Amino acid sequence: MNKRNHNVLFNTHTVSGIVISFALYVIFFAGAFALFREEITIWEEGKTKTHIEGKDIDYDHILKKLDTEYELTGRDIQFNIETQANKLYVSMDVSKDSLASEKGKEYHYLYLDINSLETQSYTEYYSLGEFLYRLHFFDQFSYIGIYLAGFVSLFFLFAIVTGVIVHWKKIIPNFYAFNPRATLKRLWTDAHTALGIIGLPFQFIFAITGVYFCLSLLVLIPANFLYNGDQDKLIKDLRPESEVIEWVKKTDQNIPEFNQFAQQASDRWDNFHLKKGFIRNYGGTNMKYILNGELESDQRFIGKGRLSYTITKGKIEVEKDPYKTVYKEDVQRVLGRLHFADYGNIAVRIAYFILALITCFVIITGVLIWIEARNKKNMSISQRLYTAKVGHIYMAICLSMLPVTALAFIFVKISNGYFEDKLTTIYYFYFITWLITILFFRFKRDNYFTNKCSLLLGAIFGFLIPIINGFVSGNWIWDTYINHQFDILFIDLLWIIIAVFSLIFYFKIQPQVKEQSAYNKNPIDYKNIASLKEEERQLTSRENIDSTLASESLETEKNNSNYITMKTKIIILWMFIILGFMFHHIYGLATVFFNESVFIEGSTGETPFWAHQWRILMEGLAFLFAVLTVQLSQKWFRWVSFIWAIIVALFNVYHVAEAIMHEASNYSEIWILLLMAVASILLVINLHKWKKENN
Amino acid sequence: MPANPKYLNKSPWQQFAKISAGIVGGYIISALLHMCLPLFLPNPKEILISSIFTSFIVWCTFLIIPFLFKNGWKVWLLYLTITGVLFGIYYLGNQNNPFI
Repeated sequence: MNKRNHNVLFNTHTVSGIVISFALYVIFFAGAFALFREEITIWEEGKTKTHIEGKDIDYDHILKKLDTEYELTGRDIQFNIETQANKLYVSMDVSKDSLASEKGKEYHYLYLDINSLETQSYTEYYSLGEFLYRLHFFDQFSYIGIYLAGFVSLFFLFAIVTGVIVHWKKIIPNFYAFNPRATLKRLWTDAHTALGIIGLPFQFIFAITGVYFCLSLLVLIPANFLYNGDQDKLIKDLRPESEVIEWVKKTDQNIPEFNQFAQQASDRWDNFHLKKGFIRNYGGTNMKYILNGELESDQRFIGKGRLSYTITKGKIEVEKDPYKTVYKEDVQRVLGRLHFADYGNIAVRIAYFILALITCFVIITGVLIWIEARNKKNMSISQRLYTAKVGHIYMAICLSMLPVTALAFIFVKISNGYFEDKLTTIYYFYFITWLITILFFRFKRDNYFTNKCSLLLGAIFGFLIPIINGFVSGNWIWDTYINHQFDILFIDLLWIIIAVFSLIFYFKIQPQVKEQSAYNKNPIDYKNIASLKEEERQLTSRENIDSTLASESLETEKNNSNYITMKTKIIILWMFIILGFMFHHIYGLATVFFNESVFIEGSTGETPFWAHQWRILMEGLAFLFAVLTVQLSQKWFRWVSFIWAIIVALFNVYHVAEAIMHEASNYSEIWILLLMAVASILLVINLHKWKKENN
Repeated sequence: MPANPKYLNKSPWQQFAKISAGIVGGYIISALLHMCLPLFLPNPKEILISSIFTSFIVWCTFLIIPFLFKNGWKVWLLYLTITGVLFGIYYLGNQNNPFI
């Protein structure tokens, strides 16, 4: 590879890596714990579990109970069988029967205890396991979080591939040259490459499956074109169990037993375990039962089976034989298996856990190399301050996750059963403690301290977790061992091991390490920042004066054929916005030509106040700013214009997005709105430049 | 070692062109490619479902390619040409040999 390409790709690897690093760290750290989501939930609840098999559940009794409470007729029902936790997750779609009562037209989802039949809402059954699972795709940001995680994953893939390309030649030498006693930056560079390569297959799997789970919408768009927009058919091909069946009418017959179906389905093959049940059109003439199950993973890597029972046919049919591979269906399960590590036993998940933490280490070393390499004497103080700041914030976000997560385990254990809305409680606790620790470490401005402190706190809290569990729930590790409550025991042991390792690292990291850092050799004097900056400013302004004197006139203005003076540019942009609003109104009125009434319902012939309000706020104020810019150029005015321009820009961007979503065929309107959005963004950029100018 | 800045193009427009070509153009090309292949090859549905992983790999490739070019707008031109060709293939294929 030539030098230019090597350097360019190196830069893309650095930039993409830095941008996603902290988000990716959160994903891998939370994701590592999410591997044990069910165990965490059981640990938190602290009750003895018996692991009831799917075929031994009394479905008919449960359905009867749900029917009296929620009226099931006409609904599509799904239940996930969570054998480990003895729970059924039930979701009930709104009734398709037009005769259904109000009660039947509400969507419900809940957790149901298989033994006691007690129901808990999603927020009541919420656990730290679920929280960490959701955090690992940023679901706490509703709607957009999962897409953000998807793009982080895509750029992770990008960073992996560019990373392999740029390190290709050095992989083997670095692997052997790896020496933990080398200087700090050398150590991090070598560790980044060596561990990056060891974890490569694992990371590649996660990058790909991660994008798929988050951005599957982007795969469905081209598929949708191929199916000519026939989504029902598309779903029927890709996810046969989710097929929607039209409602005909209520049946007069008795509803067939689900228990019998479940038992026969389960006995069909050896080692076949039921996972999910579906009921289509409950109580209808074309009612259908579907059961998904899976062979034990030591039988087959992918052993998905599906059986159905249709009331009209009156017999059980095998829709998919678990011993036969059907590529279309099974390939999706392959990605799921690889991502969730639910093949093999707990050993596989432990291996995944370790690999996930190694990936966290690779991410951290990447960031550390970046900050170490950017603190040199010849760099300007503002550059160095910026790098150091990014480093402090990133380290604070990433490293504080260990003590905060450990503390959250203690918190949920102590507070278990105390709060009804566990979701909100966990949100508040986790995010507030995290924020406080981030702020504390960020202003402490010492990555060495952040690291040591996080390790020590992580170790202390980690050791406390099994003890607190013993005191609060009586689940001491020896008791859970004797009673075969391995799910609970596992979490306690996991934390003891994490705490032991944290403590080892805590004592291994000595202050001498700190002396090797570029920030020790070339420290930033935080107490005198103001004077340092002032010095630098004078230096650069002198240089600027020199250079302007040398060229004798403003070079940029002469050479740039696109040059417009700033104020003129701003006035023109404001006018473009006004023009845009005019066209917007005209297009609205122009529907008259096509025989559409433009009257708004309930109009009285008088312009209502809200119309004036909008006119003044939008075109009126834009007009005002255009006029005022002719005369004013004070600092406050630049600021006011800038702030208003931001609001206008946000509004215009929102406006065009809304138009695309709601009236996609109104091409001319969308075009004008799009231009307006561009104009207002340019306006914001230019006002930003204007307010920085000195004259 | 950080990349040598003498090889890097600092112009924000160039950066914008390359990144947008990679994200938007790359996605469109990947999507169109996965719409064309099932129309001509055997086992169309199997090919389509494989796009749950192949489309992201192709997308990632097209994210990297722009950075090998000096001029990002040329990448856009190239990507638009590829898009046009693929769309033509898709259009013909879909008329003569529709997917469903």
